[in-house]
Amino acid sequence: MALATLLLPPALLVVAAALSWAAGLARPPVGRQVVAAAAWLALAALAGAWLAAARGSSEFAPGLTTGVIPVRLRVDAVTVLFQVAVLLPAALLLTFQRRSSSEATRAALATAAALGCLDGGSLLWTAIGLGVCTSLLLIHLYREEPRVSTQFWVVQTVAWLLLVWTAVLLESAGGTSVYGAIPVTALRLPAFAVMTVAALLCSGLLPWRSWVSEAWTRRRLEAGTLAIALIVPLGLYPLVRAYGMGAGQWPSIQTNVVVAAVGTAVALGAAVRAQGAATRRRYLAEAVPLASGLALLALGLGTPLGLVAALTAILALSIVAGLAPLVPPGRGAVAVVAIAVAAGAPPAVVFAGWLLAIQAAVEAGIITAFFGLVGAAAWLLGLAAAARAIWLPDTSSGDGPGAGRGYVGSLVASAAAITAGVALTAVVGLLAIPAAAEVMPTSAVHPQSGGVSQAAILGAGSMGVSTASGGWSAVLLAGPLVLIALITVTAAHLARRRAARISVLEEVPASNVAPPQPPPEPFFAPPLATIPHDAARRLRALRLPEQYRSLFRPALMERAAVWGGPWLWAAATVALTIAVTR
Amino acid sequence: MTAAAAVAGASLAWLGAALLVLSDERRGLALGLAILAVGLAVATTAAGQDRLADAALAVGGACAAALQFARGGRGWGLMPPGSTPRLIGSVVVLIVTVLVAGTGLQDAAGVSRLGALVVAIMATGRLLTVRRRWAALGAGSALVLGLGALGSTPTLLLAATVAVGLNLVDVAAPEEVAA
Amino acid sequence: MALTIAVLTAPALSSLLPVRDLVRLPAPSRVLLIASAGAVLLTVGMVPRPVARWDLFAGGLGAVGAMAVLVAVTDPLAVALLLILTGFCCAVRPGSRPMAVRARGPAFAALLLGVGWGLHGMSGSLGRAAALSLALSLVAVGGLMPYLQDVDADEPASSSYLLWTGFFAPALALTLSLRVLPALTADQATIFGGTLVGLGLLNLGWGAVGAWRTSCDADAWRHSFLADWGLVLVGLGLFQPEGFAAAYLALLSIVMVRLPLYVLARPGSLRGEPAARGTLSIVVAVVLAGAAPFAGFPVRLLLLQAATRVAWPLAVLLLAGMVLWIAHSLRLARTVGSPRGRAALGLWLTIGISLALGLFPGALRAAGGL
Repeated sequence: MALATLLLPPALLVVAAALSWAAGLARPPVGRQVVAAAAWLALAALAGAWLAAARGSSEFAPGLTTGVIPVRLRVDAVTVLFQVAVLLPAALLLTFQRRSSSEATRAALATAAALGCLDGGSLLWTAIGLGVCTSLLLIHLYREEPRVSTQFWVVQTVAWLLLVWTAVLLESAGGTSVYGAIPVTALRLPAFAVMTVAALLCSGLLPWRSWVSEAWTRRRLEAGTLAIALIVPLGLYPLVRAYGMGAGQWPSIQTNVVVAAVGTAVALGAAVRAQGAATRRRYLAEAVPLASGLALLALGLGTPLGLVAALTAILALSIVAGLAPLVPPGRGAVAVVAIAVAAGAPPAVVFAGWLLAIQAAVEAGIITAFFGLVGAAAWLLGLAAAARAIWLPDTSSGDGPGAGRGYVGSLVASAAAITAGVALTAVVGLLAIPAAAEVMPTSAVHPQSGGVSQAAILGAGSMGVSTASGGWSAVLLAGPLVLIALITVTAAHLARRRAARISVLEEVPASNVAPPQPPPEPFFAPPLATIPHDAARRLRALRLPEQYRSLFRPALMERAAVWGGPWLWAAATVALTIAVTR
Repeated sequence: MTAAAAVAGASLAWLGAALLVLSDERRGLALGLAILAVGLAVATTAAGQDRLADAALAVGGACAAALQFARGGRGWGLMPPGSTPRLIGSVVVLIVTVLVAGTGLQDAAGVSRLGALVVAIMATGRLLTVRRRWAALGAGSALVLGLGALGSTPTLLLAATVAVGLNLVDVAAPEEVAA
Repeated sequence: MALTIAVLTAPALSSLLPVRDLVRLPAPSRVLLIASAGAVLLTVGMVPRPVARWDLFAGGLGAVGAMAVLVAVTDPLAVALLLILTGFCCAVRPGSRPMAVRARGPAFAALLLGVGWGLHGMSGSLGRAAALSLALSLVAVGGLMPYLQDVDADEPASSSYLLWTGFFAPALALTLSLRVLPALTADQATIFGGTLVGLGLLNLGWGAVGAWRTSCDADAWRHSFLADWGLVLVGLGLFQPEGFAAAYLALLSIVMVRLPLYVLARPGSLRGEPAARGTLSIVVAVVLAGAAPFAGFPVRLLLLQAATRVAWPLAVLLLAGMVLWIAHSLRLARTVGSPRGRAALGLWLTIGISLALGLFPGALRAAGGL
């Protein structure tokens, strides 16, 4: 059953990719539907297999070697949580975005590669899987629009190379990079630093505009947003596993503070850019960075509650990644709800995850409490930006035809987020807490870590969250809220219909129609916004001063090497001989 | 006696290489090739190598020289105008090689090795500066003989064979248009 | 072809012939020899013009035979002599550069090899110079920095010096490393390895940056070979099992992937045709960039393992070079364009070979005894 948990989801997607490709050749345009069905089936299979199994961790070593390492698979609560975090937005996007059969094929393969990456039982496998996923996404991006996303390519290449190097460092220090077998002392500061840089680059967790926001500047959003949905959770995965490698903690407390600070900066930067967005698309481009920044903040706390909050926030991040591209145009109820959910309005799981993160930050210590406050400020700024975004024009200059953003996808995603928010304790109890307990066990080696327990986070009867900084009942608060909201929306809808019928009968004069309002101005111009662009421009313009240029001209040197041939050969040989024989 | 023979052989080899470097015609090149082959054979014999192999080296060099000679014109082309740098280079290579590799000069084998090195380096220098095919092949033959003299019996035999083979390439290939 | 078959079956025959100790083929060289033969068939199949195909086939078979002898002979001095003969035989083929100019590279490499091997038994500075000479011979035989040679646009591919860089030199460099290393002292081995690592980094950086910044596509291809060889030289010079395996896999990749792609792209890049933006371009770019799951990634992984074990700053330099690699990959991929017919089949075959090299390097390492 555990093996089924591992293999069934990617296998379903690979089969669907093959069927979609065949459908593309045979002309019936059913490829997208096949792939979408497979994605939902994979999610159901994953959930079903995990719930039916003992829900412990299992490793499989079939004795095969592919690539340069033996195949080693691992299934545990962390694997399942991250696979849900990848599959859920992927399923939403594959279902509700318009794709041709060939595009659906590539998307399915990329999703399968992402799942395969998470199946691996070692950091090296994760790195290789990330590399494969990146290659497939690159092809997918280029096929959609023949313009290479240089930033994405460079950043992801650096990320997977650094991850490979981290695995190599772990193997040098501890003899292995297998998650279940790494000695506690193997993950030292240098290796952790390299891994953290890889994770930050991979997920686009930078205080300035990263590849995640740049993906929204493409003419079509299908490939770029899928890349975000797949890659961003993958980038955070090694940081979660790092807790397991260190028996519940990272190499030093300073690393926790640094990572939490970076997360806060990322969230704040995203919020500042979001409130200054000129179009709704530019606002939505900052939704995932805001969510991932708050998740990183929680991840860096190093406490059981922090880890649970981070994992919940990662699930929230996946919802945002799936919802943001599906936000419909206009200012209808569905669009408003979708934007509100993505911005962290209650009672959705996004709200719950972020609230837990802030609570965990406040409880973790003085410095982290400060980070928590800044995170809360970023959240509030994000909410304000969301309110403004409702009034922003929907199109940017690059919004192509057939954007394919209907209402159904957004409605489904919002409903899923709200349902998960209402059933927060189930989500936390079934996914987040077991995953946190997997990597943060109660350990005699590090007794201060304490381990993760259900009782420390969930209240009696699992009706709500109960932590040291305060408790709140998701069901009892969110349930009635949702009910009231539904009643309100229904009433408003009925009233509007009645008003529309009356206006048609009475022929309301055009002069009574309210003129369109201009969108509200940003609260402030994002400070330092032009710095990355200016820095890149200055770097590109860097030249040696004119008077020194003749000293170093690689092209001339090479021409001299080629034409000067024999003399340079002899000179180089003699020079090296003298250097060696001294 | 052995050491004197080795020195004589090495000197002859250097002389042959110098002639090869300083000549701009096939006849001069052939003469240089023949002399250096004989010199190398004498040096390697003095160093204790198999006499048959040494003889083969000399014969191979002579055959290569003969092939060059047969296709040559009337002139010898020795020390034409502008060859002073080459002359100086020949002397400099000898001096530098002796200085650098002179630690092996205690016995006949060391002298023989030195002679072979000098020939190889001078031949390569010539090869790197010429543009005519016959000149390159002649220099290549000298290089082969010089390197072969650094080795043992099989290498000596192979060097002789390859030296002849290179010049047969010149015979078999179509006429080269002057660059 | 007869020579190749004879060399490949030499273990069975050697006991019958009086050449037992003179001819011995290391397992990795055997694999590279077979790969080279495969590369000949692949490139002949892909070449666009029918007139060039038979000429290329005949020349390729001859080259494989010559290579077979070069890698089978055990004495490096004999290899040097045969290298001169092979170099001149290749140079005598029609080409726009004079034959003497084209023969210089192999001859100089042979000099370095012969002098190095001839003096390796000496001690002190002479011994160290010999080790340096042996290392430089590997660099010179491939026409790498600082022994670069000119690329003439009017010259056919079979007369270009890239024939040595991409075809002869891989098997030769690997075999010579295997032959000379056991005979070197510790001091000499340090010089040998250090030279290879230093020149490897130079070629990696020069190649990666040059392929990116040069204005000529033909030059970009030449630089990309330098970059690949940079990884090979570093791998050979680290004296680690992973490093050697990385070099071996990189050489296989050069022969079976980069060289066929170069042959396919050559006509267009020499004519300076505008870059194509076909859908295959990105796939080829990913292949050339060394990304997973294609041939380049096990090379990078193994090399990083070896470099980290020796000195971690070396890994940083290698990482920088690997990142710079991306810059020229798409540019080169576009020169391949969107071929049709036989050439398209050849292209897909090359991509498939790259995938196989990336997914099953373990099998290839086992075949090579690594």
